[in-house]
Amino acid sequence: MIYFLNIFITIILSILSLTFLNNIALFNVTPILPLFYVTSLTYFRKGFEPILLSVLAGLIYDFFSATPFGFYLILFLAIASLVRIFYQEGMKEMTLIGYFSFVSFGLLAMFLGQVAVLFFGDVAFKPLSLLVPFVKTFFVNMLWALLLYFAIIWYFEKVKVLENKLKLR
Amino acid sequence: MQKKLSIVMTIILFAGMLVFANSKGFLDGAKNAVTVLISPIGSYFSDVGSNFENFFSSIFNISNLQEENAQLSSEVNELRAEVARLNEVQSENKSLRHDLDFVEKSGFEYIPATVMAYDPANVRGMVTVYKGKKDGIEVGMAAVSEGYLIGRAYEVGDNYTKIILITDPTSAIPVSIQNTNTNGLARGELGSGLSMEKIPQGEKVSIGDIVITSGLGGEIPRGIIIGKIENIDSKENSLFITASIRPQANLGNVLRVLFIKN
Repeated sequence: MIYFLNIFITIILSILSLTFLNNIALFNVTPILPLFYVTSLTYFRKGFEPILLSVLAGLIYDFFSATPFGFYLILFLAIASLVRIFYQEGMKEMTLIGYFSFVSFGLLAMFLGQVAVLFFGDVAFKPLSLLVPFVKTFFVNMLWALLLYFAIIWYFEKVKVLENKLKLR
Repeated sequence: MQKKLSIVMTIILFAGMLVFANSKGFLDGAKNAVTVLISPIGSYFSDVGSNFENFFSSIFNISNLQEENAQLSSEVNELRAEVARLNEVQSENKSLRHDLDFVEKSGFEYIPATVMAYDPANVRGMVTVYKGKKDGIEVGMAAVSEGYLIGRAYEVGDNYTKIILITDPTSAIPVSIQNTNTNGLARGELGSGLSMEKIPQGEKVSIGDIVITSGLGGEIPRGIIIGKIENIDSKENSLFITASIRPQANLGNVLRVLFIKN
């Protein structure tokens, strides 16, 4: 049941990020909500669930993005794998520093990946012109990540309580 | 008795004199002076009295007031929602009028589509619409919104089309400055910028000039407005002038798109 709930949330967050949130984008930057969710999901959930959901979020993103197909799939998968490498499965808590570090890494990887796609696609651009878009993307996403951190912690605590109840039955 | 009678007679006489003086307007100045002196005190006491009355009537009507307050709050909320909805309708109406005006004046044939999703990253500029090959859309077709060019179709599926916006770094559109023969290339920049490149030195370019599609290359028809010149970068030793363009379309919030049939 919780597995399906997480699938539902992943889909909803991805769609929200691609559609509705564009209308209320701060500095024209839409937050990458699935990145925050995948990062925290890998902290708290065991097994293949985080990996599969990162693939799902990546596929939805890839369908609507201008980057080559598979870009977001690899990005989200890499973040989930990285969290899994650094932390054991099913952590009881997620520190703000740890969460911020992985989200920052994800944003940096996303930005550099997109610049690499443009560079190898023979698109001319000045290196300095990268600075403003990156700072804007980073700042707005970190603000959203901070806002969602507390909601995510609350959600996974509820999930644990629900899981324990289901086990007792 | 006689004394009392004389006092009464004096009062009657004085009253008669006052009535006569009043009828002739002799007392107007005195009345004004009295009014000026009394009105603040009078209004103060009127207020106190009124508040006193209100205080007691409020105690007796408190339950009615609560009910009335709840009803009014509910009405205010409903009216706010209505105002928000009407604002939305007004903005949609304005946008549709622009589209309609453009369709009537240009004489092109169009395929309308609604935007489904926006590119998630801040580096690229792309929107996806819910119409594709089945509706007659082809790769390269120009997409306009409210009469302004926003981009062109670059990936077309059966039921969807991805539009590369004019601000995407991979976008390059042949343009010219309206009412002149000055040609150039409108190229997207990282972070939603747009610039006009390859303008030969010596060509007359001014801030505020309107940039339109030149029609060169044959994919996009001539005469569709892109934006206005915002800044000019001209170096003496350079072969070309570069100018930054402010797009006229609200590219951050495109809702409806018209594809121009070639």
